[in-house]
Amino acid sequence: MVTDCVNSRRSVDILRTGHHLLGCMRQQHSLVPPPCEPPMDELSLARSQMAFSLGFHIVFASISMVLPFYMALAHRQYQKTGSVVHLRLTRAWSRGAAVLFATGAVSGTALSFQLGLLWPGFMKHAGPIIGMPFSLEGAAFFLEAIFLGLFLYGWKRLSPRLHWWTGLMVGLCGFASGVLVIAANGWMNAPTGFTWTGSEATGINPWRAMFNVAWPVQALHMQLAAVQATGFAAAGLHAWALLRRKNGEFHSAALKVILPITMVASLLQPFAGDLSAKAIAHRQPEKLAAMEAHFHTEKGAGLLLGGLPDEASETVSYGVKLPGALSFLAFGDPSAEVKGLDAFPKDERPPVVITHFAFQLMVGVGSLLAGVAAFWAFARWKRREWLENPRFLKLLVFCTPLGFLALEAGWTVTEVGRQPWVIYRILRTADSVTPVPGLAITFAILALVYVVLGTLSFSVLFRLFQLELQEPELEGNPARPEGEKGVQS
Amino acid sequence: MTELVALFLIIAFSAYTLFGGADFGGGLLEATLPSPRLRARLQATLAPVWEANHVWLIAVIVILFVGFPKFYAESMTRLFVPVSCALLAILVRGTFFTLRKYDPAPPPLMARLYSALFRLSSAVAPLFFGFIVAGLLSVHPGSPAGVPRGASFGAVFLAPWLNGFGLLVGLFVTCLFGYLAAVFFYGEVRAPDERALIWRRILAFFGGTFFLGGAVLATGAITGRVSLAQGWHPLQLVCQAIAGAGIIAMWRGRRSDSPWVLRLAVGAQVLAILGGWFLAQAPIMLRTTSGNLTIYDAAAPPVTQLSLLIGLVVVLALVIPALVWLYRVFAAAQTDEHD
Repeated sequence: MVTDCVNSRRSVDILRTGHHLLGCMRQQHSLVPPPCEPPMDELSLARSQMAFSLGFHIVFASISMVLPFYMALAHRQYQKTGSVVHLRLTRAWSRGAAVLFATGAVSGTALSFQLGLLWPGFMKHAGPIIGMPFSLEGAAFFLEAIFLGLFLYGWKRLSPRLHWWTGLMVGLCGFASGVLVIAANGWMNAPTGFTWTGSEATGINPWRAMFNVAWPVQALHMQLAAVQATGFAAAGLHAWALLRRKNGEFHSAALKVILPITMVASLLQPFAGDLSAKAIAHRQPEKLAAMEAHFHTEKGAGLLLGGLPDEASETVSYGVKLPGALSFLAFGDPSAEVKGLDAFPKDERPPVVITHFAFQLMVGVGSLLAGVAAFWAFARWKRREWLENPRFLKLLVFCTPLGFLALEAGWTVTEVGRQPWVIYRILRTADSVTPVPGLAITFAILALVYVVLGTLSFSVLFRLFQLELQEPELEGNPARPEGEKGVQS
Repeated sequence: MTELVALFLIIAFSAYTLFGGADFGGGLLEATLPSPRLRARLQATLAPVWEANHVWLIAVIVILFVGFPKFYAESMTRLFVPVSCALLAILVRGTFFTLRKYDPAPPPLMARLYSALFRLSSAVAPLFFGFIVAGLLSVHPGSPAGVPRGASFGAVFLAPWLNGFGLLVGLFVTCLFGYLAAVFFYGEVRAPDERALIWRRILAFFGGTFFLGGAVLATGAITGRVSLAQGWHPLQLVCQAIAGAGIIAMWRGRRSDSPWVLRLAVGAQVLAILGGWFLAQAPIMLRTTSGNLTIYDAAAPPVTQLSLLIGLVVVLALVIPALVWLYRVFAAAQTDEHD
């Protein structure tokens, strides 16, 4: 019990608090004076706050990255055929993009401050090294804002072709800013482009830091995940509306725009995930070991399904192992040696329980979504009537939150799995946290604000969609795509 | 090269003060407008295009942490409280503005809540910006390398900014932003009685800015935060001359009935005020009891600065034409709506 507490004092893990509290409670029962620190130390609070902000921002950022593409596709369709349904879709999605962009911009601004407020020790060292992708990301974000403004106010002022192009640019700039910001996270996992003297970085090469080896794989994995998560969330909502038999034409047109992109991303995602896992096996073996709750180094290591890891005794209960599968997946050889957590000093091991659970959740949900995508592909090819079936729509409704669940789980894996480091094997998270006390207050306020803002934003989005459907038929001749001139933005 | 990076920082900061200032001031001005028609007009002027102003702030932050990482880390630590409060106000303001703009059918209570929180946060954010500026002008305990060990929370994290001087600077910034918004909005209304009403607002905010500015200078000089001797620096004199000429041009701008003369005059005034502050402070970024942090101490290695500059030039080459395009389309769309 005492070692448990000592361990958790060292552990910087946010989500372990519950576990920790349990430990303290058990201790009170055994009437031993609790040698634990307060349940949440400042470091944990800083990490919770960061996790909360990122977890919030990532939802808005993902949607505002993907929604403009739907908007541009529907807009194209409208311009080609003059279909009013597609015009309505374009307008509904562009308003949604505007709301989410504004919320994402605000939460992104907050993040750029929080990096410095919470992690001054990190920014002091990382700023000059990894500033390039941040500045370029800022530019992409700036352009995204400008093009979104042009699209929203361009209905009457721009030629149809140019107007469509501004909509597409919103999507492309947003996508680029997502890819660029991943470069910074990639560098935290695979730091390069400098020499570390032990207390500071010298010989900085910002370009090499930006083009770190982790970037391409991580960016691919994340961007597919954003497409997937947004796609399943949006498709689920439209499927739900279709099941209620209202505005059928509108919602099935929406599904026809959303599903192909989403399903292709879901089919590709397992391959991107495999690439990520292989890269981690090479570069961050302790992260892989934590993901797999792989405590002991062995050859021909098995892949763990389920299981409840216990870090103190270094054992896993209730799991099923597929022999040799971990070695094969990680190194392409079923008898390859996979390093276990025992190959690393205790104070350099990531928290196992969370990393493992998050990983299992991500892989499980990802496989499920890939299965749905495979089903969709088969049905589209051979049995189109299946896609009209209420059961398929119900399946989509069921999948609504799953993409985002997997996305958040994936980020938990990569962030918690990198602990105790903020810059892998260079700088500890504990050494980069702010010395300002009282983070519990800021965390509480911030959490409250985010929850209120998130709830309000989504309720407004929902009402916007309803309004779009209640409006009387649009004026103008729908057969003429240039009828755009009669449309108010 | 460090000076060049600092110049970019100043440009981004000035742009944020001008555009973001008018934006924040809009919320303040809105609260003083009597007719719903004028308020609706103001809200249309502060369309979400203005949310693009956040990018200037992000530019400031990025230049700070890439170009001057030591200052960024140190100021974010020492000014944690006012920066957090300003950030909170920005968060609340941006979101409630968007919600109010896009909520198609808000319940009456909600609609009032949106407006009330939008206006309140519009006033609170500049107040804390002022506290931050006051914090940058004050002497902090410890050294540029970190906060002193064992010192009390109040002495390190509150005392340097939470004082009368800080409050004065905060009120000054709030008033200045209201002034900017009123000047911008003046060019957006046509009816003579509405113009007369906005002109009264301009004068009120100008009076407040002038009076509070004087109070800031006086208090700053008495407490040793502002050195009046520096006021005779040639560039300082130029700044003061521009600010003075701006006031005269402001009156002429009203008579000539061109909103742009008025806007440019006031823009020049505000830039001159900023210029005066930067000159008074340069090259010091942060003062502590054991030494100052100058832009040269805080600067990133040359290679980082060079790539930052390259990046900034590329960014500006892309962004400025796009921004000009946007403002033109937006202005045209506004005129269409108005006719």
